[in-house]
Amino acid sequence: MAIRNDLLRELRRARGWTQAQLADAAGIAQGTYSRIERGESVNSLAGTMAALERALSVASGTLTGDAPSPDLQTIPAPEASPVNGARTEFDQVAADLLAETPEPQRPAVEVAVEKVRRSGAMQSLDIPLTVAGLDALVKVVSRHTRHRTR
Amino acid sequence: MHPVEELALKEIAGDPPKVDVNLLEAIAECVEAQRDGDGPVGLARGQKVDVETDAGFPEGMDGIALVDDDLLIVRPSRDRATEWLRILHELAHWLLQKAGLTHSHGDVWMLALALGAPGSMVRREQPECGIALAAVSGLPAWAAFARLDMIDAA
Repeated sequence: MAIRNDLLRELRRARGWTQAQLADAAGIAQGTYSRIERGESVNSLAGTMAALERALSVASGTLTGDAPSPDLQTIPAPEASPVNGARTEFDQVAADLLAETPEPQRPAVEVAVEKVRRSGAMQSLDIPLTVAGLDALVKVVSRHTRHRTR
Repeated sequence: MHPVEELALKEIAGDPPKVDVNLLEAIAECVEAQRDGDGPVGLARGQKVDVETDAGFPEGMDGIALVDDDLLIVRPSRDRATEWLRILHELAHWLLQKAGLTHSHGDVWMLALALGAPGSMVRREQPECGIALAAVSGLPAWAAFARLDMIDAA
């Protein structure tokens, strides 16, 4: 049973969900989901396919192309699509980074994290979102915005 | 194939567009008309956006557009065309976010290419191939070829 991984990615992104969020909502391991979306595991079990279709609220057979694809424009915006309490992967990583940050530096890091969040830069990439990665980006942003007046 | 080329072409082909291509072309022409200096930095300056470089980005990231700060930060490159494309890409992010347009990453790449070689430039120069367009625009050759494909498809 072959999943159309390109359509799966489009449906996920149209909802503004991360791979981890969709995997969580479907009840499958994130590594398994990543392989499916990369097209490395397109011959998936029927149960996995059904779980993904349920999580995405699309008709049975959508992901194989047997049912018509939904209009991506009609899919609710990310803010209107709460997944498991709407705590995103970015929120989790940001919370972990702030927890590791010594108290005196925390307010400045919070400001930089918010700038990164609003840019959407890390959320839109297909690279793993890690505390180390966010920490590096926050340091870049801090270096260049600390003394800006805009 | 260069990883950035591979990613860009994959996202242009794979990410469904959310912004009308004619609007992207119009944005690029408008930004070109307002440019304040040479190259992508001049394009950004025309929008009152600063461009700075930093080598500290995490692996897999080459830049960030900070809308509230009117600031683009990109990873520097010894290759001018590569660094220019990074600036154009972040400027495209900034423009689409500033305009409040819901967009895909494919839209960002399409706008970045249009900013690098606006339709008016292509009509004026009439390049015979991507190499010729790369020479006049400063885009990497692959990006110039992709830009010509984009124009042909429109």
